[in-house]
Amino acid sequence: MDHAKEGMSDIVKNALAEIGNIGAGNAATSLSTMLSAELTMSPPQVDIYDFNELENILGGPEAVVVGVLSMVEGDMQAMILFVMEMEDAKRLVKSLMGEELDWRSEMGLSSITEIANILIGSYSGSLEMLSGMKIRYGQPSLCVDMAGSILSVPCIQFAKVADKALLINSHFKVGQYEINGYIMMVSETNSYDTFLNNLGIGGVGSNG
Amino acid sequence: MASSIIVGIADMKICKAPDTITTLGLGSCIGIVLYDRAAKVAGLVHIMLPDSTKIKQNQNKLKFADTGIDALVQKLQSMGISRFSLKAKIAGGAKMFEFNTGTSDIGSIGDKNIIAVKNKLKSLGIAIMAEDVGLNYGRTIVFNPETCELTITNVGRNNTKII
Repeated sequence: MDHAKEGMSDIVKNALAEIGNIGAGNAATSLSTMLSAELTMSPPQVDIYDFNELENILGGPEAVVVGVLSMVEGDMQAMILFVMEMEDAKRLVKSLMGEELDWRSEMGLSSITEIANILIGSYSGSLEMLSGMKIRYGQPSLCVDMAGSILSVPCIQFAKVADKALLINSHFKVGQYEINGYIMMVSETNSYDTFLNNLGIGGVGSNG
Repeated sequence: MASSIIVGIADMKICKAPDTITTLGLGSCIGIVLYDRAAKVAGLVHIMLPDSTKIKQNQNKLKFADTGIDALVQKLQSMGISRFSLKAKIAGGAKMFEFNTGTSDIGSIGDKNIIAVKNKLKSLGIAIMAEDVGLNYGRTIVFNPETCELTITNVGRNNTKII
């Protein structure tokens, strides 16, 4: 990556960190209300990875992970993926539904989808608030499969604009259970310009 | 000792028997194996997108079906292998998530990759001997240039298929 692109990435990274911060705050509030359980969320970490590094964050390309993907439409076309390792998915289902429920049962998976939906809604709400764009997000879709295959979906979108991907790491705690989840948000337009312009920092990015 | 050569995302490598060549966790991406049965040599490229001409960020040729396959053919030719002795086996191009969105191409990127790969191979006159493409699950593939078999597995689903 040349310096101009690195500068661009930093700007996108900071913007996403800010969206993530507000999104995490919103999510913690709505999740606490819904679960009537104490839920705390740490400020998310935003990092940039090579495509081949990314899957190692989630336990390697063949590790089984859970992904929930939702499309954002309106003034901006984007996708938001919430993804977590299998052990985290198990802990999440336990914290919500009790010890005995199998996380891969219909009820287990639908509780994961519901949490992901709240997180995705909080992120898109925060994106809307910061950018002033009118956006809506669609029905989330869940997939349990190998990390490489699930991450290929956002990575392909990133590949249209870069050779790297942005990952937002969200760490939260429900009652006694610590859960680590990751969010990937990627604009579907051929550049981040619309996104940056709407955040009021487009010029900086374009001039590199 | 035979070893297994691992190909990453937007990457390509070459292998000679008794070694095998593999790429892990293919989703909507496609793994294209080109092999010469007599020479017992195979190359594998792991592409992400159908068409380099539609994307500005196209310096990495191995990201795309068109330029990725060209690069693999050139690499094999540089090793003295004729294009006309090459055959292909392909896998991937899955639709990992179900969506009913009109404007988005997310759901159909796997299909677009499959079409682009087939068109490119056809234009080069390379026959596809076997394929395991589309559907809705991830794939790990291993090619053995000794037997010319492509083994496809999915860790989460415990299924294995040899084509």
